Amino acid sequence: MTYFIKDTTAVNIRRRTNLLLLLFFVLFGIIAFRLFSIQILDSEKYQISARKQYESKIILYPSRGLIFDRNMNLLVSNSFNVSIAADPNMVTKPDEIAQHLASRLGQPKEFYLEKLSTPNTSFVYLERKIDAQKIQGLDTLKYDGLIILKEPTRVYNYNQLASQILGLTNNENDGLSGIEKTLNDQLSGTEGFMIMKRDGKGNLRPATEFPRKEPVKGNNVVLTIDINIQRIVEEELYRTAIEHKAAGVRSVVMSVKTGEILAMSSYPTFDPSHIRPADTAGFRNAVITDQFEPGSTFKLITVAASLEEGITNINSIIRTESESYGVTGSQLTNVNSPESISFQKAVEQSSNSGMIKIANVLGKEKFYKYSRDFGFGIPTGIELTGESSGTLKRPIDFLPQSLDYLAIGYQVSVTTLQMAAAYSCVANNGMYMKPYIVMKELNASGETESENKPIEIRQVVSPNTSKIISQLLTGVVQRGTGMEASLDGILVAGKTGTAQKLVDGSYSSSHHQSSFIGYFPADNPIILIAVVIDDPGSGVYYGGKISAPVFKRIATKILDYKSIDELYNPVITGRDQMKVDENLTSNEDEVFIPKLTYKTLQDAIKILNEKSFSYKVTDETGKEIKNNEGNEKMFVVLQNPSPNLKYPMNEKPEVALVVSGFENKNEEFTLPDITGLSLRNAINKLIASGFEIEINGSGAVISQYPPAGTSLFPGAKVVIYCDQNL
Amino acid sequence: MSASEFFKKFDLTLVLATISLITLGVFAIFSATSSSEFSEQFYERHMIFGIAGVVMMLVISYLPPKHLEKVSSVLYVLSLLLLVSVLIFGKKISGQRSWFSFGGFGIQPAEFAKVATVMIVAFFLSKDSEGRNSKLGLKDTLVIAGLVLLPVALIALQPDTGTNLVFLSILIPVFLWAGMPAFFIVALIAPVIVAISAFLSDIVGNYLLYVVLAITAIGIFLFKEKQYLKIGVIVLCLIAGFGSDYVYDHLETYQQKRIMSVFDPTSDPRGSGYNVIQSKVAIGSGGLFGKGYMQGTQTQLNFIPAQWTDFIFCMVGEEFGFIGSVVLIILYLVIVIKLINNGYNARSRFLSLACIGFASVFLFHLFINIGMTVGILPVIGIPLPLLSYGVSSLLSFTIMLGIGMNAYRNRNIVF
Repeated sequence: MTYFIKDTTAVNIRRRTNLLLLLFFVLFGIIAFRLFSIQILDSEKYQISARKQYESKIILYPSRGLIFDRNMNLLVSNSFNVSIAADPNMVTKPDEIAQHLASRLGQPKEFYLEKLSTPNTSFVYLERKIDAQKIQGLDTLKYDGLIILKEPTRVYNYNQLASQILGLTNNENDGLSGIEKTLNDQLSGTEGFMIMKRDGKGNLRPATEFPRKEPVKGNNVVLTIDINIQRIVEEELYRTAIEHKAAGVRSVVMSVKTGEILAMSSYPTFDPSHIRPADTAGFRNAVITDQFEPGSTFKLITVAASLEEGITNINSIIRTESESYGVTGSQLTNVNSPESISFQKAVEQSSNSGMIKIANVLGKEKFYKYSRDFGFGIPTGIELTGESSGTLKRPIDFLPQSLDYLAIGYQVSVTTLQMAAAYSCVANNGMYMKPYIVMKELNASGETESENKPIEIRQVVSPNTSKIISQLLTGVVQRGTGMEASLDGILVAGKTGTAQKLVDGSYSSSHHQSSFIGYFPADNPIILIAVVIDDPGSGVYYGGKISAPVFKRIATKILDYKSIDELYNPVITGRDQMKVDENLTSNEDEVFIPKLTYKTLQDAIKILNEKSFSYKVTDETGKEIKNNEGNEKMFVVLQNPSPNLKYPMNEKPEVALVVSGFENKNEEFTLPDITGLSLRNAINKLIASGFEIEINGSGAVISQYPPAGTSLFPGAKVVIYCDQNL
Repeated sequence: MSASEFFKKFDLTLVLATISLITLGVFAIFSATSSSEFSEQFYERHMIFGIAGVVMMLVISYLPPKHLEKVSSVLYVLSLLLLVSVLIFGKKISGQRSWFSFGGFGIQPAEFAKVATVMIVAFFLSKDSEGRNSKLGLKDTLVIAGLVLLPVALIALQPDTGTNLVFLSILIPVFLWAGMPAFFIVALIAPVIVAISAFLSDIVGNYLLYVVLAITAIGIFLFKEKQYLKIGVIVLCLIAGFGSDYVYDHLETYQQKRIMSVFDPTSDPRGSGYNVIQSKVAIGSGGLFGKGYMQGTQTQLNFIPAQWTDFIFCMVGEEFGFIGSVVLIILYLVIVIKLINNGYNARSRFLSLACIGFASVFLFHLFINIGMTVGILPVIGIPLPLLSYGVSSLLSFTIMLGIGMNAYRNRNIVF
């Protein structure tokens, strides 16, 4: 081949060089033009898409308000439950995950495998709110696509006590019933948010250059109930239900002068920490939800109205021989039916015919007016869910014998709370007080946000009339049907009631509502207790026989717990609320782990000793610290188990503390100079030294507070100001 | 030696540009890795090997050109041996066997093979003729092609298409420089252009291929060459155009995806298009002045996988903006122009050809690398010279620049 090219001239070489340079400039012209177009012309577009990628708004959930009883005993607090979820698309080892969970949580492997293969979703719960005892190790599981969630949950420190009042929250921690529902808004607080940066791997990290809205903690609620009285009541209800084979037992304890509910419960009840499907009946707060025909206790209306209207006085004699006032052809028979009876005796012996006669003299309009004034037929408005109004016929709807029935407590339905409030009214000199259960709301810093004062609704009868009624009702307990309610040394006023239940349209002689409502001391009442036994199955069904003793036992125990003087002058023990928050009061058989981090070792050990925990202290290198000298200069930086975890008393864990001993390295605590650093570096530097940071603005740090060189404890807050203020 | 005499022999501009780029590389790698788990090692290594590289560059610049010429065949054989042994002993990383794991870091023989191949080609082209009065016969052409294709074949077995393209890119400028006629070069380039337009026509429409074929054919007939040669080239173009589909079908899946994602990155945003989208977003969001050092959201939040290697330009674009990018390109411009000029002025034909070879390696790396980060070229895994993290590439580029400095020292200037 002689295919030759001869390029011998320098000009030719120069030309070739220039050709190469031309190629070079053309290529870089293309690059430069491209750069110009994306960095200058379309820059905004790319900035927006960058922002979209890396910014993500995270809702900061506030912690839900706590619920206290009147003595600041913490009834409901918060904890976290660990839930395990997965993103089925991201899971690479479904078999291993299923195997692992199956071996720990009891469900078959297939159960988890099925969930892990749920199509078209990026989130599926595998196990929700795992028992604290089973968490160990599960909360640190690491698999691709596995999501470990810490979900806030409510801790009911007294288990079933007051459970119907407190109510429940759902899985999202919203109130479903009781106080949790009625005060949900107040307890929930306000959500905050922060902007997070999402990195290329999908991990989130806080974006410090954006403002962060802190969540506002929910308000704490203080109830009027006294958990000790509640305990007394619930124990007695349980005992009574068993003893009398009753379908249900209801009771409410009120402070008559204020209308405050001190205790309220119905049997069956439920334990919010261990809910079983069979509990549904127990969810109902029957004291306010269940209506019943009260029977004799409703005679209060006739008695009070006739006294107030001057139809009767304490010395009246009622003739009952006339059939015209009797209730003929009815199964409703009187226990004692003499031909004529003193008004006092009619009350004490609960004479039906006597009451019917008086009611007829009173007339239906007056009867209705007083019934209404005593609060029947309308809800009391207590701050709880599911209250019934009962039914009170209007005079216009009365049937020919309605008044007769009403006089003795039939053809009217009431709630236990309505009955209690009506008797409280009599006990409180005839002034009807609005029953209430929420004493006050405290904000997160412990200041009172709102306070409920006793509300006088109306003067139903005169103080004089109410005195006479109390006198008559005292007779009921001293000589009449309610003798089993009498207390040693304290006069009790009260009324029994035994109502036949309406079964299949006719009044049954075997199904009853047996009640006793009483208050004491009769001359200056302070406490009212109402007891209703629904369908006692033990053969005895007179209110005076079975409900009055319950009243007596509850009253006796209350008086053992608080003297009459203390009841008159209630001293709210008012423990420091924040303290309660930290050192959760616990049930006898359960114990909470106290919060120890950032406390000095000395303090931490003191707390642990008080609660008789065993403990082990190590320094950051894992070396055990046995000698407690120099404690005051050491701080707890880590603890295990985490604070507020609940353990059974007999399985108290050993608490492991990791402390940082700073006595020899004070410079660790000296605030470094961070001015001039980029925000990112400043944060890294401060966090590494254990400081908390408040950031103002973005960009480079221009000043800091406190100034560099200041000695600070770990956890102290450092405020940073940056050059671009937002 | 007086100062002025020293600078007459010492290519200060090239050294300063090199040091600037390596320093920028250290800062860029630091920023790009600061939030990843490898943070401390990479920028330190880049700094240490950058210093080593500059020292090596200076040493090479003082070596007698004859020695360099002689050593080139040894280096070439050595690099072929390394390429063979990497196929046997190399570490397989994501489907490629191109690394030796050596004392904690990887050695990529292909990077050094680039230097050796340029040198052997320069050596061969300069060996039987003195000065610039040279002849380039078909035989010579075939020998040169053989010298280049030998390492290319070995690298194709790894497989590493990106690096292979660099080797092929050496040929055209060197041939041009060595005296190959324009027609010959057109004959080499035209089938490539036709093949690319065949790929493109899959997206744009088939007419593209026909239009490009027509233009190419007309262009070829305008040359004053023998008819059979012209027809031969056109046949070659037809084969390239219609055969590219066949070739495409036989490419690795990841390569197919990468080629396709250049033309339409959004078609697979989490897959092979991901890097392109992310790097465009990073560079584009940098704007005119950039977001500031260590302040680039996309860089700091690791949106671009392994950014410190092939996608380091994103960090410059994002944190230093358009101005920073242009400054960077000007620094490269200085290097490439210096290499071409040094080659032009070199006394030895070997050094002259080597410089042109190296200049085209630089040019190709720059254009492909930046082109892929700004989304106008396919994602081909080749580093940005002196900036990307990678010990092998850093050292091989400084060796090239050392030879470039050597050419400056030994240029046609009367001292």
